[in-house]
Amino acid sequence: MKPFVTAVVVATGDSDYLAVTMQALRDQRRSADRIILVDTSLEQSIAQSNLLPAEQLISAKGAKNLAEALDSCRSALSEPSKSTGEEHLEGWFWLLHDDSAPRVDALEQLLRVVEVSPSVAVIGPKQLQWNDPRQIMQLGLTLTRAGAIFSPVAGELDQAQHDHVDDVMAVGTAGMLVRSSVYLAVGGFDASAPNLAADIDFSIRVRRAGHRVVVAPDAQVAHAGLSLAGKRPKRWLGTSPRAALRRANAHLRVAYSSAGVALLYVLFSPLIGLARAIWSVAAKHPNRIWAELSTGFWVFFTAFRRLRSRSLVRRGSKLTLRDLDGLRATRQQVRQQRLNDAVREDLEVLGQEAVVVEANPLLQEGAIETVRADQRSKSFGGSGAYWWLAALLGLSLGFWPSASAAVGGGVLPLSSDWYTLFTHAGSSYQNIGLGFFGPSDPFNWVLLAIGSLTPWQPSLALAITLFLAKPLAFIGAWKALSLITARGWARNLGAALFALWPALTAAQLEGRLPALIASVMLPWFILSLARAAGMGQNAPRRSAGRTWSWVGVSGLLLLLLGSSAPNLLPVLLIAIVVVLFSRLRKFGYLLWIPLPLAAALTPLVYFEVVGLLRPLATLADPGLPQPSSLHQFWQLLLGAGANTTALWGWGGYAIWITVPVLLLAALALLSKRFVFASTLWLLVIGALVSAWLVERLQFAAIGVGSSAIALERVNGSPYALLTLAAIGLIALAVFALDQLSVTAPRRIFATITAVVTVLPAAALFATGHTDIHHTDGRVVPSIVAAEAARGSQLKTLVLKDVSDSVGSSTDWASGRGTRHLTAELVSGDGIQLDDVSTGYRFALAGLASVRPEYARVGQLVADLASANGTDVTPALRDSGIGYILLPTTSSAGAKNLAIALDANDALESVGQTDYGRLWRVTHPNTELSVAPKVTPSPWSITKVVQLIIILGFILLAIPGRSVANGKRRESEIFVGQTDEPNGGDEFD
Amino acid sequence: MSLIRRILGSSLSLLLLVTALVVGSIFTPNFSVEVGELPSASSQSAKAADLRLVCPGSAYRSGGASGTRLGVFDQVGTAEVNAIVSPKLVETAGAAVQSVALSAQGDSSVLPPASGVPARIARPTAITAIDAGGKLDQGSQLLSVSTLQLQNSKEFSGLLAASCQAPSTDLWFVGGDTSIGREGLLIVTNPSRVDAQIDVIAFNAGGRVKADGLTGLSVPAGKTLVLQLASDLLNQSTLALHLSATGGSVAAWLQQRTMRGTIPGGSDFIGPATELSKSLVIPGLLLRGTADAAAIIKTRPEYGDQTPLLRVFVPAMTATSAANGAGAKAGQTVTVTAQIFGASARTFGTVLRQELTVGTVTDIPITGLADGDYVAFVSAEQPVRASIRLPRTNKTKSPATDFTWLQAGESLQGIRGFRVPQSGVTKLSLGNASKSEARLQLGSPAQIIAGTAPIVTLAAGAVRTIGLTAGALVWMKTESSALRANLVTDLDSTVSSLPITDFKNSAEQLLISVR
Repeated sequence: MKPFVTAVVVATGDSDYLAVTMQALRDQRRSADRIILVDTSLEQSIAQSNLLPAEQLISAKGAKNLAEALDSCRSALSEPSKSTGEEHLEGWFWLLHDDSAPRVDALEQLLRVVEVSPSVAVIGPKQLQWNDPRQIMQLGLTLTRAGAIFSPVAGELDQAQHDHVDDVMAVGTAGMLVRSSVYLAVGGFDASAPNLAADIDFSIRVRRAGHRVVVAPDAQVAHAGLSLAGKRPKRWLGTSPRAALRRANAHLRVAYSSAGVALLYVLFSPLIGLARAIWSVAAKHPNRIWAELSTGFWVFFTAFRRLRSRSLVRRGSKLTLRDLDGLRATRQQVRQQRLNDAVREDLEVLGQEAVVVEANPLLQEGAIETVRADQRSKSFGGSGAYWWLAALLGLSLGFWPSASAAVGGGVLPLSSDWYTLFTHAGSSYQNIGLGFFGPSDPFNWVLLAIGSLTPWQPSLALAITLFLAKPLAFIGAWKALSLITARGWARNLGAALFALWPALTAAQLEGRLPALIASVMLPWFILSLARAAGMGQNAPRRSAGRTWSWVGVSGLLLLLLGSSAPNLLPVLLIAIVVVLFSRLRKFGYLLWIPLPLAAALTPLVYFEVVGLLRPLATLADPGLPQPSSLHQFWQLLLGAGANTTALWGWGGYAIWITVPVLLLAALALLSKRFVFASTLWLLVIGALVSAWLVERLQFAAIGVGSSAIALERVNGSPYALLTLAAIGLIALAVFALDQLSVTAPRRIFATITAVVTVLPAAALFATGHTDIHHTDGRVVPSIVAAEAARGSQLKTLVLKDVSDSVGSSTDWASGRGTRHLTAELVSGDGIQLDDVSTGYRFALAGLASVRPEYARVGQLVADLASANGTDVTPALRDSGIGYILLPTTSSAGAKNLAIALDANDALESVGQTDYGRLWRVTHPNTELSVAPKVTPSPWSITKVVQLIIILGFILLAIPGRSVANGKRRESEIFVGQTDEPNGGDEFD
Repeated sequence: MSLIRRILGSSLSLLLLVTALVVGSIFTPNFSVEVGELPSASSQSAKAADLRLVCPGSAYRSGGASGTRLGVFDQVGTAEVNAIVSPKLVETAGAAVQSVALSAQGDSSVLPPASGVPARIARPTAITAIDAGGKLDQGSQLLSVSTLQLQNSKEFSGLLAASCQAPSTDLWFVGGDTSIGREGLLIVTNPSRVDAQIDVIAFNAGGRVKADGLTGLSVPAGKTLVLQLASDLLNQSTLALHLSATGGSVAAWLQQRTMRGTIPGGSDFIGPATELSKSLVIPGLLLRGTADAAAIIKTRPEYGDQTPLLRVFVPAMTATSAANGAGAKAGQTVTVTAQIFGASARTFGTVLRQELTVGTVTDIPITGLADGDYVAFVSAEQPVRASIRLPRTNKTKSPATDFTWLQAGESLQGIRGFRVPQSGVTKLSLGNASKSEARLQLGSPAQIIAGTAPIVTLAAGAVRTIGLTAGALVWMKTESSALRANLVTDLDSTVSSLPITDFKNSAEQLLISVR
């Protein structure tokens, strides 16, 4: 029968694309018998005057999909005879989008297929790119083995390599020629299906009804793909193109799976969406998170519509989907497609930076060995860095963990089990003192990360960290210096300088754990940030996946740095902003780096800035407060070395050992790239000025856990900032050496630096005194620890007589005066490092004045100290005190206090312990002496959010499979090929 | 980039850098910014512990009845108790005085507590003013107790007076002698319910004396430990002792006894020296029988210690004293001056000045003084402890000799109360250490409360001796912090002295910082 073709153009409003499409339609060699334009726009912007008299305009105002659009002209599709009056006509409709312009012979070619193959019911053209007709946009659609929509041919240059294809599982709706009777028989497009699933769903139903679906490669249509590009009104897809595609896949899964599978899928779709979102992060596609999550919930909340589609699927079916397995995409095709997509994504995002080929075909024979040898010498092992590592390990033997916990300086053991450590991270309630509702230190996340390395004994990991601080710093600096130089010896020298820098050494010897952790991780952060931004030399192959990995690593390291040394943040954030705006193409990636830090820091910052009105408190170092010496600016520039080993009246020699590094750093300004050197010097000066300012801040130091020090205020610790400055100086020095074109002066300067700086610094570290020692991790007497281990919630009251300390009002001459006692309530097994709270330190002044419990404890302590016979048992019970500890001291006040406690009937003396004299409360609160019936939940909203973000970044940071390992087909030619085998620009 | 631009750029960068570093190094201001408030310590008032005074009981006899049993000490006779108890205590509900006799060393019997203050005691006794409500002001007005015992046997003579003291952990004794014919017993009583450990450090003219046997001694709860000093400090004529206790507070006295051959030469309970200062006042140098003493000494040198004697101990610098910027190191010398003023125009007094070595004890004989009433004003370049040995000699009684050790007086500022010993003739010796006149009200409690008590005026540097009625209750009230006093009791050619004490439990107001 003679085909009667009704061309139906579905438009979402008037546009240039529509005009071109309509003109192309009119120019067809074999014209359509009827042309209908369906306007689905809400504003009805298409005028009848834009059409020829024979062309019909139908309004389908607000139609959200093709089914609704075609419903408006259903009658025209079903009765071709009526319009022509002719008999023996077979109705076909040619569905076109407003952005799909057919070539002049498109319809002719499509109808030729109809003539040859009467069994065909749906024919699709070859869709070409609207802007580049050389590229194939689509030639048929299918499903993968897993049921995902798959376009076998996309993004390839049209070289007629696919013109042999005919039968396919499905074709796209742009340019689709459909037999009207079949269309009506199978029920048309499914109104419940998402737009991006409508074509494949329809085609599969046509197939299952026993008809053929083919492509006609000779019929070509230029398609702009406005829907997938997100350029249509949002109501058309209902969401972003990525999510729409995901919804399409989900709909097909529900419609075409078995009943049980479909039901389960619908019920668990939110969880499936969550799992897929997590997988997206792991696969380095974090931009798919929203699509996966929203789709999961969309399926769940539109379950009935999804399931309703199943009845339409079964209507008129003669075949099963399994019968169509031969038309599915093969694994090979899917793999190749993913490779192509990844490379395309790399090229889109990274442009010229993306590396494609594995080997440089221009290398001459024999040159490969030279390259390999050169690469070996630049490697960590090849440059002899392992020897340096061994030397640093040897120097660090004093920190060898001879027991499970390190103590001393600012170091305390961690909680004895991993779960307790976990509960402290991100918590909103601190079980210290009399209980404190406030955010925990972000530093607890850092401690959790470290403690997780040895979860059976978290403190051991901390001790190992102290031992490995210098080797880790060396490795990090070595890697970071690879951004500047390829010379192995220069990296070794620079890394050794960094590892032995006076500020880092001081932080390690004095047990300034947060500053030490920040210092060790700084070069790693610099490396990861540079890699994420695509900066620096000697970069490995770059890809979008790797960039996301570096973003993940940078985010985690920034969290670590900001939590350990908040005073680093102003300088670091400025540096990140500078990098951000110098790498605008990477803006979308780099912008995410501060997210984990923001999540972890926001609660505490909000508490201190808004709650306590103490914005400068955000710069306080976490952990135990430790005083720092005040330095002059020039001393900070020199690294703030300890003033030891006087040198002819010029101060300690240790101060001057960094002079060669400074001179080399200044020399860098005379190099060709003085702009780069100036930028680094700006960073150095910024860090030094910040360090100088931070030292002048006097932070309140009194709080639980601070009884070890007598000072009420401590000044800020500059060590992390000094280490940042050190990195800048060392980078400049290495850069200066690298820029020297003459070998002799380079060797001389390097030797001088090694002799004057490295060796003395090593000696100073080896001979330096440290308070760090190793214990079994207890911080309270064994009997208290044992009771805590059994679940007792009783607290220990730690008393100290500070009447003799500086500032007391004791009259020496007469021996009389006002006694001053301090009292700390410590829970369970004592104060560990993860119990210490910066927020508590700054909130204590307010807490003590508003909470009556503090006054009650004060009165209790006064009654205990005066031994006045007052019955203190009720007060001890109310406060939940089970033990009283008097730290060992020889002061007269302590002796009198001990005598007063001995005289109290409510206490019985346990005796002298390693931590002082201990008394047990004779009749403690029995309810608290046993484990609680209900364990308090460790969760809070804040913690959940922080944990999700941190875990997400961990997933992101885990490297995925390298794109370069994929095989490519010979016919593919990709833009953006570089001719540098090692890729990347120099550091700028 | 052209070479010139590069050179210019590099030079400018270098110049700017050097300038920035130099300016930063030279012109950085000094300042600091405090971040965060410090929690202020809350002032908490705690009810004072009940005032407890411990009395030594009667004198200790070494060797038992035969005097030959080693390590055996028993108490002989009973001592009269002279106590003043505030009438408010009787009126206050829940208040009472409780006396608990403590078991002596070796005595296993349990002695029940008695209420009220006993008239005489034989055993060490703890007398407590129980104030459950904590409403009564503590001090000598509330409770002040002393004991007096006259020994007159062939082995033991002398008048022993002891001020009952509040237990302490740190006690000094400037006095004592373990040379031939001189017995020193250190009596340590532990009234608490936990055992105490004591360490005794001795000093002599050469400095610290090594005596390992006097460290780490245990005094059981409720018991008394008696130490024969000669066992560890043999033949030491110039002594100062430092007793420190841990675990519990103790009360202690040094019982000193003299035997010249078979003739007892007197005895005394030496109480703790409470004052450590650059300026000390030692009232009570009431010299009698100086002519007798001089006559006897001429022919019998063994009576050489019947002249008055000033003993000064100069402590070396400690951590506390160093923190307060005071004290000299051991081995250095300090100048000590003692001005001894008489109470009348006929008794001029004398001045003693000597360079003393830090860390040692020095005896300075006080010679050339006729019978009279004197007060010693001791001054030094650094804080010192001092006491005076006051002898009594009556050559008509075979002869009869006795002695007592006068301690430096505490400030009398405020109200002080005491009961005059019922036996003997008691005099109050006053000294005014200030450069201005001082006034003192002296009378009965009722007179002081009513403000009708007689007023005693002392000019600057003046001394006064006032006779007191035996057994009288006496209150003293003064605003002056410079007045010092001692009681001296004479009975039948024997002499004893009592300090004016004002024990109260400290730390009623404490500063507590809860962290």
